[in-house]
Amino acid sequence: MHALTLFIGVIWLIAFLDSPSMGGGWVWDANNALGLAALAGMLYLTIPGGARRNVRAHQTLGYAVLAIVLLHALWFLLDDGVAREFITPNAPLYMWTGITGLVLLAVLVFLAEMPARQRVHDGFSAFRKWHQALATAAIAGSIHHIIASGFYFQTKFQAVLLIGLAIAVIFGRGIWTKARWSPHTTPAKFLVTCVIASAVFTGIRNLVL
Amino acid sequence: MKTATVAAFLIVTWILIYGSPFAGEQPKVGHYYNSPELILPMTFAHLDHTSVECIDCHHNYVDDTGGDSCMHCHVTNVEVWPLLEEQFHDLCRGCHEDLAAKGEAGGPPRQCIACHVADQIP
Repeated sequence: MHALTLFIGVIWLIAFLDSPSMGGGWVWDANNALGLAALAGMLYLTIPGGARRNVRAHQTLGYAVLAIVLLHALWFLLDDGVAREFITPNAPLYMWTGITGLVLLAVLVFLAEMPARQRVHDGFSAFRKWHQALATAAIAGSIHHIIASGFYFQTKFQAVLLIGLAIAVIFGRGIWTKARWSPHTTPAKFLVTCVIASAVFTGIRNLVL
Repeated sequence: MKTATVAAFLIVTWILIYGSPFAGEQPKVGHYYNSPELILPMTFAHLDHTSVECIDCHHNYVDDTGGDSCMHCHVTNVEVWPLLEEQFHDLCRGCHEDLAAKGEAGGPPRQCIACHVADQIP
């Protein structure tokens, strides 16, 4: 099974463990599903590729994940006249952790490109250390944003499972390397997967149950 | 992608200053109900909630903790005011979410603009 599909499937499964019929409307659910798919993309990008890693593919996929996160944020801001209150200093903490996750992801993507990388870091090992640390912080911020906003992941059981998935992916790097699940998805495949997964998520929440 | 990111940040800046050009109604923060700080407007239509027990919201009917309108205490009482957002989100949105979780029609569970507009219906 493809690791990206697995991650999206597991996140979807956890989201549907409690109140599967609770939807916020087509637009709301579709946009949130894109945000969740972006989290799956961020987890997917943390899988080590070993010697077979295609660095350029990893970089372009990073741009695709960033594009989905930006779409997730802009869609809400453009659709709901109140949403801009959630990016002001009075916004709840979970919005600021989400915004922090987005900014860190943008920093990760842009500072990984040459020559910016060479200007910021002394060598590859320093770059890799900071890249992994920032990626972990971006994922942590995103997961706090998802759980603390309290809609699809309202129970402690769901929160523990989602955090457990992230820990398993980030700190179980050896397992992924042995499984030879090196990331090789193209941005186009990732975007199509996001759209299909979002449609399934939204359809179940608003049609099936 | 760099251009798209810069464009996205410009759009966010535009929305922060002028609001969304597509969202329709743009609620304005203000000192509603004499609130000490700026808050968003809120609407509540009693006529849409006749199936709900009065006591589910009007706790003062039995615990004798206040009178007048809800906002009289919830915005002006210094102990209760800081909990305004949390309490009303829990009460209003929580009830809508509980009904949605049961698969029943129960009003908007999450869309901000569905509630944060000025009162229009009694």
